[in-house]
Amino acid sequence: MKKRIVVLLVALATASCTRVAPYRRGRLAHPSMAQPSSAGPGEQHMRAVQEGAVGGDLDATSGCGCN
Amino acid sequence: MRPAAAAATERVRHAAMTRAAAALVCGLWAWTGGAPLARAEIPAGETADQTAGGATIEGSAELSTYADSDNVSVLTPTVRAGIRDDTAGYRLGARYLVDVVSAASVDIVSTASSRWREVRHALSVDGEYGPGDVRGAGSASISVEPDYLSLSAGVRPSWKLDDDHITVAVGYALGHDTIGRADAPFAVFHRTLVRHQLAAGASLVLGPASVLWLGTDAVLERGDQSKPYRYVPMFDPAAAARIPAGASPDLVNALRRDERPLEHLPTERNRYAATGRWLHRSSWATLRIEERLYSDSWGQLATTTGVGYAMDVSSRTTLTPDVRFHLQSGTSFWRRAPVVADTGSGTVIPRLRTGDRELGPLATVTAGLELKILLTGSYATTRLAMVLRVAGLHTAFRDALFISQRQAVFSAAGFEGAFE
Repeated sequence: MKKRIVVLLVALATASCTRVAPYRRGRLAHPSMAQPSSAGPGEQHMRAVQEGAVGGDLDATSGCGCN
Repeated sequence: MRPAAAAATERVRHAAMTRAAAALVCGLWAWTGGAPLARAEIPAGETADQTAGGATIEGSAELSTYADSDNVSVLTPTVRAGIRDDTAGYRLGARYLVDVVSAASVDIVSTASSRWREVRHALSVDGEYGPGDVRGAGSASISVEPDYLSLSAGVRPSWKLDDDHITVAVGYALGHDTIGRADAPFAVFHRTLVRHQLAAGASLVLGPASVLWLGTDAVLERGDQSKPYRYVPMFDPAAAARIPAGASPDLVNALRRDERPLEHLPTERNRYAATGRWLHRSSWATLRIEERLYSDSWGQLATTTGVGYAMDVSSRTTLTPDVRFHLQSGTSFWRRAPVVADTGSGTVIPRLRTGDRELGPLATVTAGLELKILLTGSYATTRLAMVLRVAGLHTAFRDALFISQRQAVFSAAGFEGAFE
């Protein structure tokens, strides 16, 4: 298990070895690259109450329409 | 264009790109809200009319609706306002949301209950600060219903490393829920549920057009989250064997025993999830692929896969089709037809029992389409956008009573504005 974690960390550390100069980051800066989630608050809440394995987020309170 | 004007425009564009690139890695960690209505590249035919810098006031409003084949409908208006200054490195925002839920689902009707309607109010504030490589973010929220009160707050610092090629973030949030009954004040009846949420992750710039985000989170829940209204039908062993998935209320009522105890869930639940998200930008579109693996101490396993493709169909219009697949197993104590054992000393009902089909095995497919139209120039000092979204959902319940599938439609319409 420890070996796997080390391998994963090394892979992460080397994954971004490609150097991107600031003036080449135009595509990275596009708004569509910055969205944390494609779902809005209403849709996220719907998923949180309808899929037991999605809940757990602190937004996932009641209001599920179930009994 | 004269050379001096062209050079000035290029300087402004470069500044905007650099500013937005700095915001990118932090935006991946934003707690709420969508992407900022940021200045993008200057479209052909437009010129920059201001130098970069200064605060931006942001606001948005959204109305979403949900309706399904199980007679549940939800109307959710949301408003959000905030201020941000990417040069100074801060952002503050607040969001107010109302859920109006109307339900007459089959499991409610099966207990001879009538349609009910409930309203939830949720208010949240969030902020970030960090002009340098270290950034701090925090949020707090309150959600109020007649029988449910939820409070939460959290912090999430992040560090930019390797000349902004890597951003590492950790987070902790605490939630405190008070669960009651609509017919009694909290002073008469309530249960408490406490949640500790821990998260860690990193975003990695893989190249001039690709970003990979890897994260993991754990949620530790302590408290009794059994629904105080949910009664669970019980069966003899012989009757349980005759109950098929999706059995009608009439069949269930014909075969069940008289005992119908309240739901009883374990009072501890540890949830663990790992998420990977890859985004790639071509000259005119952004591909987004996301995978989430989930496991918890109740024995539930899940995988969620999402793919979206945001296409710039014009300089002001973006069209994004997306699909999402969610597959989950049931919890270890899930039983479609719980069995009662008659012993010489009495009747024994299962200690852990639930009728919550969301704790059983299910699969959901979602197909959506989002249209975003910039109503003003993307480099104007006042920027407005309209966002429309519609999604269809199909859920298959593989081992539940009363229902075997559900179809639903979700829609949302919103406006976003940014003012400098």
